[in-house]
Amino acid sequence: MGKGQAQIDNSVRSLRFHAGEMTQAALAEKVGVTRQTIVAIEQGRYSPSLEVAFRIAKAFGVPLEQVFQYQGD
Amino acid sequence: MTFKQWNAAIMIVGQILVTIWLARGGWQLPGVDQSIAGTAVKLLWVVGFMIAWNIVLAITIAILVGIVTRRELVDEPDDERDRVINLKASRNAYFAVSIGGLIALLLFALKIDPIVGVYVVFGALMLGGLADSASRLVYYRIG
Repeated sequence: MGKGQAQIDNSVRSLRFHAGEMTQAALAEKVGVTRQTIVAIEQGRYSPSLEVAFRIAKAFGVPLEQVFQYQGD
Repeated sequence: MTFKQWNAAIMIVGQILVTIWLARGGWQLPGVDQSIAGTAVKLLWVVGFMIAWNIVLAITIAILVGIVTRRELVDEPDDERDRVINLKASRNAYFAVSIGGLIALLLFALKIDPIVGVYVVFGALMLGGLADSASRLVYYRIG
């Protein structure tokens, strides 16, 4: 959400796939947000706070930059 | 649709119904006290209707969605995205109410019938509610 949302790509869908097809609901529970928020993040409609971004990375056991990639100038 | 989106949709329909009722002259019912106090009592009944509408429809929709989808429609605790959406919707509602309040003040300044002024204030509150519900529905869909 916000003006910069289109410039941040994410690999949440692919990371979920490589984490044994983890469901959106399971990820949401691990991160502490609703499933709708995970859906919105995956579709690039919402850019999470830094804290949630770090929690997503921790849920997959990868560094933050592997989950979110800034595409701006 | 989630519980929160259904809730916003229910509120929009209720607000539209009340607006149509008022626009069709519901505020000119025969035998109703046309004083400011009488008008306020009538509008308080409208507020009561809105509350009952929201409760009854929320329960009905939860049951119907549960039957159709075979999944319980429950409200989840708010997370950061819900809070951001609520804040943005409140901002839009505040803007709508402010405009309505300003129009009401201007009408009072032009010595309009105070009873009409009460309806304008009520309309501003309805508009604020509508802006809030519609904004939440839109933000949940697009952002």
